Amino acid sequence: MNSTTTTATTTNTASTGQRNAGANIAISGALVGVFAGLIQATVGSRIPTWSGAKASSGALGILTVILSLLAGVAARVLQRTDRRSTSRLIATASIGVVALVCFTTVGRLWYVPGLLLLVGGVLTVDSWRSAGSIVRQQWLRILLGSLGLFELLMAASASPLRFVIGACGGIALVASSWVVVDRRAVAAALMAIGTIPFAVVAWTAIVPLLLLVVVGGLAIALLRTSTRHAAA
Amino acid sequence: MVSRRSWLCRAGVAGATAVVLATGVLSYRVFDTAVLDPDGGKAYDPWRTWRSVGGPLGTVAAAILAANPHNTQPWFFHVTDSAIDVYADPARRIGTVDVAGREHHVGLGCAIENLVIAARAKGFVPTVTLLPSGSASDAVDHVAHVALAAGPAERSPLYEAIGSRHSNRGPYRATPVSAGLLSELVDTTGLSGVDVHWITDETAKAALGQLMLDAAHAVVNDQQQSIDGFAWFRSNDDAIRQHRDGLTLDEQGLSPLMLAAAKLLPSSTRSAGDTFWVDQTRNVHIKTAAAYGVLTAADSGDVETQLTGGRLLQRVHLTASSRGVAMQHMNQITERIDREQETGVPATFAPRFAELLPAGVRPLVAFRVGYPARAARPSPRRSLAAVTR
Repeated sequence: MNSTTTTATTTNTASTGQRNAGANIAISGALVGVFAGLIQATVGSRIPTWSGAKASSGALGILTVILSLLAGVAARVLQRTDRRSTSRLIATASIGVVALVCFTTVGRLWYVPGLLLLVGGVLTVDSWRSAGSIVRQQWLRILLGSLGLFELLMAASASPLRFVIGACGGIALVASSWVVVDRRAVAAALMAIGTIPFAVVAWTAIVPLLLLVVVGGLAIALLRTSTRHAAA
Repeated sequence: MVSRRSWLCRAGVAGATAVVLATGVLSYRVFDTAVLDPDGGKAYDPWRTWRSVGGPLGTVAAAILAANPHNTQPWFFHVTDSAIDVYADPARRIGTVDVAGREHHVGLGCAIENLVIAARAKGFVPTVTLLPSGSASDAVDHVAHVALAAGPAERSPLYEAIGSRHSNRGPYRATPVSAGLLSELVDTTGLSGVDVHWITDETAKAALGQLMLDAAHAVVNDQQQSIDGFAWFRSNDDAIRQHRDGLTLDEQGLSPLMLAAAKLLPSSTRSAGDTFWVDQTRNVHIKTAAAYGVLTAADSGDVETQLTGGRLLQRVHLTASSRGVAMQHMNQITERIDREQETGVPATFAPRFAELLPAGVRPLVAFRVGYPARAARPSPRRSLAAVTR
């Protein structure tokens, strides 16, 4: 009986050694990523074959450095054993998102750090089954956070005023997905801040209006769910 | 067994997921086509910085904002303290669309005129020599030598209009442009052998409009012309940033909502682009033109005449901009005339166009004018560094 349980645990969860190895690989990837970003920011325009021939190599290089540092911080979080499963999953997801996004910022320079981050991120997953369970439970919050990222994406190519409002709005939406369970009023305010100003200044692009409507629908579902949880 | 409530809940989550995914795809299109900053980025910097560039190079900063075919910007410049040499870039021709090179040379003439106007504003007395190396085919790419002597700075209304002159492909208001104003748009001082013939009579306008529509159909039905024209269409922000030339959706004169919708849809195919152009020609360009102008010359095939015609065309466009009149270059008829001549098929457009013009002159290029319903947007431009050698 005991041996069966042990076998199942070994199959579904990562060992401490595997987690640490994954975190270390991800940290290595983040460091190489910082280096790749610095190369893009300084000499990227002179090596277009390697750097992806980007028009804004300086800005993209700096963005890559920032994202790589974020991935590094997430990997450091994963090295600690006292974190909750949800926090660990978010850290792993952050590494994965950075690993994928930066394939579009520094061209071939990202092949090595991107691969290291992806491999490291996969190795740090404690249990795919429990990760899947958390994702299912928090799916609406994940959708809300994704909408925040989409707003950030739209803001990235916007004019200065729209960029500031869109960037703040995107961050507010991501933050609202984080606090929606515990602080409903704050979450509702963040959702309003995250969508209404951007819809006002960017309505001609249509999608900010769509974003407002979709966040409104998710807000109703999430706030009602958290109300029920609070009542329970 | 799954309860009804549970099933509805799952369906709701699946629906929400699908809507969020769709929002993600559309958000990427907003990012990729820069819907929220249509005139931003380095590709549009030359429109914002041209006044601040000093010395002889400042004249080139104005020259690169000139009208030109399909925004090919077919030029490069050699700059010294005392002169600017203007060269044609043969790699920047539009193939069978402009098989005789008339629009290519007219566009170069437009750049020369901007250069001359800016030179006067910056304290130079410009002296233009067209085709300084001769008119032989191997020398014709050296299109002008503009000597710059010191003189008083004279800022004209045309200079002030350089940064606001754009081809306006949108609808024009029903208000007619008076005959007096039309004649004031044309100043041929110092430009011999070229003139503008205005077509304002409703019957003649209808005939020319139909001819333009027929020519648009013929261009899109000529596969090679369609391919060569579409090669200069830039469908997303990456292409605009990379090339900094060509035609974009932003310049098509669409309303803000229509423009956003067009950008959110998948990139236009060649056939969709052709259909859009023909529809716009029929429903917007011809329908709302207050008048047509045709640049004419005795010998429209002569390169020096084409360059001179370009100078006049730029002068007309700048004057129109300074007077609040919109203008759009419409050259499908001459494109078909040259194409028919090249391929040896019987001429169908040349005789119909000739019927609408005075005897003894031939069409060089054509355009429409009117009071705009909405402002035109700028086109991407290559940097000074990219066009000076």
